[in-house]
Amino acid sequence: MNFEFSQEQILLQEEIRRQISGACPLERVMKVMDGDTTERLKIWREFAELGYQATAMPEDLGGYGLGYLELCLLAQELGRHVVPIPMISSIYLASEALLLHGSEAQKEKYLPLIVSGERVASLAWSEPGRRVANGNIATRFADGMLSGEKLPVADADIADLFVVLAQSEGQSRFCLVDGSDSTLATEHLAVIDEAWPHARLQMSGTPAELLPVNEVDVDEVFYRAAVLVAFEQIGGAQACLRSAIDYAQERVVFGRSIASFQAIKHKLADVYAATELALSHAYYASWALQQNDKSLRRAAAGARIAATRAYELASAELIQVHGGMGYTWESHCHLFYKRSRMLALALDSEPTWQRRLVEQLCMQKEEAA
Amino acid sequence: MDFNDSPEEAEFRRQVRAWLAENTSEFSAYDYDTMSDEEEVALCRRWVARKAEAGYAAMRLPRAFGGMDATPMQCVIYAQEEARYKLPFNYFGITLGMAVPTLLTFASEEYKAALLPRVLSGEHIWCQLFSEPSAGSDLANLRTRAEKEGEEWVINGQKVWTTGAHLADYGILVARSNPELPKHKGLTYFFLDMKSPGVEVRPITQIDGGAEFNEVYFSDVRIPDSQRLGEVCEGWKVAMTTLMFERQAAGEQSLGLIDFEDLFRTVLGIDLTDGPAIEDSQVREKLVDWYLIQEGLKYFGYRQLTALSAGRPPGPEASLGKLLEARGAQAAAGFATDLMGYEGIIKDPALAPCGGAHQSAVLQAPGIRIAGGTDEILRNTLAEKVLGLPPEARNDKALPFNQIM
Ligand SMILES: Cc1cc2nc3c(=O)[nH]c(=O)nc-3n(C[C@H](O)[C@H](O)[C@H](O)COP(=O)(O)OP(=O)(O)OC[C@H]3O[C@@H](n4cnc5c(N)ncnc54)[C@H](O)[C@@H]3O)c2cc1C
Repeated sequence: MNFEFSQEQILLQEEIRRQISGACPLERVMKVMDGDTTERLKIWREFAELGYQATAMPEDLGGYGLGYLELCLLAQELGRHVVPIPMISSIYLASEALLLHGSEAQKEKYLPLIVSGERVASLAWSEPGRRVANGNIATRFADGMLSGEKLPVADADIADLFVVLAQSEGQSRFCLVDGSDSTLATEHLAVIDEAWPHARLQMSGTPAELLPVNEVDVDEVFYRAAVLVAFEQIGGAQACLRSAIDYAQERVVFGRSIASFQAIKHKLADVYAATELALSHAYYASWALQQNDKSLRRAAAGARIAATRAYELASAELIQVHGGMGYTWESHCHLFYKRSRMLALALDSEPTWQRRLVEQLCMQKEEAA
Repeated sequence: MDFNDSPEEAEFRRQVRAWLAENTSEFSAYDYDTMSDEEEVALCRRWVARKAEAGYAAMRLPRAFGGMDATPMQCVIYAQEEARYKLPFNYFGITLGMAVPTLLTFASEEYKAALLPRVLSGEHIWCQLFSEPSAGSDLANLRTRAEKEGEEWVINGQKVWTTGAHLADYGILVARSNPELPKHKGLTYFFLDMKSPGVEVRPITQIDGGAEFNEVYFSDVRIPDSQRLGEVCEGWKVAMTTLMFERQAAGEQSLGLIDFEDLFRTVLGIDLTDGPAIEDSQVREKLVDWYLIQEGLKYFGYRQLTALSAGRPPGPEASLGKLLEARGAQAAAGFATDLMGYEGIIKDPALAPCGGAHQSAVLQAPGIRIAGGTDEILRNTLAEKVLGLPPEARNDKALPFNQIM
């Protein structure tokens, strides 16, 4: 047994951290938050040059074929820097859906273009006013066409390919839709995190390609993405802790550094403990993802919930430690706070993951019996 | 990253399993929930002796002392496998986790040869005589005196909260040998025979009705200088080494307050007014709370282990384990009893689910949040030693001890 990333993986992560802090400092994220609409695509393309999107993609599909452990470490760094690119939409979700369910021809047609940064894909799954998790999906695929409404859809403003969750003959299936199709209507939504745009997507008689049926159900992609998102969340939580420590040591009130107040120290110790606990779950989940271990779903749900809780705590306390300054648009605190809430909801919220985790535990118990 | 056993680990696990399968049956047949303490201690002694025959009682020890030179990973594999069996409570936790490794590091060869075999035969239990009425979190504030007379030390004073002192044959002791030096600098570390004249042990009843800890009084107790561990006035350093061993031992197993499987089984067996408890989202949330702590700390422990295997000593970050687990167990125990409704008050092992494990945890968790470093001290440790935040003000640290008494 060995519960650490390898020396090479750690060196790679450090290299990525240096690259990202140079290429995408928080000031650049602030530009996006302030309404710059071109910046995200620019960063997406720059990072494609660095090969980020290609990390875990098999070589015959234009990737480096490194593996999911490396992709997890990349995710942690992207989270640490709240990088506003459609990595979750395009790589962890849409590409994974294609890898899991796509035909060879579909994979070859689309995946190399996504990893090269030429195309941006997004997975459109959520629908207004309903929880689609149990196959309760209104969007229909029939006769090569899709009709329905998806909301919210991440990164729809820059996506030119959608993987759409729909019902086809009573089954939950994924379909592919070209983002430039004239029957698609997108409408920008005001969301909590201005640096992560979302939209409403309406389809009426929109031409679509069905992804073939597969032994794994459509949920598989959410469990797999949950592991990667957990690393993003933990990277974010670690950045919050670092920033809170730095600020606490600088700020002097009542004649002493606020870092010397026990209330502040204990708060930060709790953030540290929550983050390390989440990281421990995430380590296990990264291994289960890489190995496709039978415990993947349980591990992913555990990592998902622990990481969500850690980021929520860390980002809320980040603002608290900063006092009034932390509540300003100008400070960086809100980048983390908003991203944390968005990530907590992006793959559906905690109660859904609690239900999934308990389901997995029950199944495990039945198997053992 | 590999959570599977390596071939050598798998082979070791196979050996452990085979040995346990052959040797546990006579110990697993008892009902430990209702047995008296005396009977359980006697069984525990026999179990330790049995394990020692195969090298499992103190695995980390060199073979010459009855161990098996085990790696940290082998210790964990053994602990995982042993946890599958119902066995007597381990009354040798402090003995094997703290006293024995300290002796091994600091005692003379003669004492090691004389005393370690008596532990491994299940005969000797040791206790830890650190805390005093004036010295718990602030351990260096202790007042028990050690005065040199010829080749002997004369001990006078009082210890408190000494777990197992009533059973113990020997104890490890920190006392003040020089009150003119600042508090951390005037301490010396010894071990002593608890049957020495002048040692008086008085049990203290805990909130759960048990009496596992004690007051220990010393009146002119004589300890030969050869039983000093470490240099005179370097007792603080030795004590810190003991606490490091404690952390190391703690990393290998959970506190055992609540087993997730017990909680899960309890939840699955309960119907609320509107259906099975497991279908209630609030129930699931609380179940998940405890799962995340227990399962997460298991993986955290594995990470620590990898660091240990790579030769890095257990660091202060290990403090987060007990902090999360003790608080979490207290919450989980409250939740489990809530689910039982009014019947949750019943701790009778014959009536309560899981032999009253959750009611026991309600009553034991507060002690665990204090023993071996309180929640607050653990947070200070994490904040200062791991996160680099400023230490608490210590106005008395540099003053001669006799000026602050
Ligand atoms: C079940 C049990 C078994 C034990 N077994 C042993 C044993 O075998 N051998 C042994 O030597 N000792 C043993 N102890 C003693 C234990 O180590 C001490 O009780 C513990 O260190 C706390 O010390 P105290 O009781 O003096 O409380 P205090 O130190 O007086 O603490 C009282 C309160 O003040 C808080 N506090 C203290 N200092 C600070 C600070 N700097 N910042 C913030 N808050 C602070 C504490 O967190 C606590 O809430 C045992 C205790 C228990 C409960």
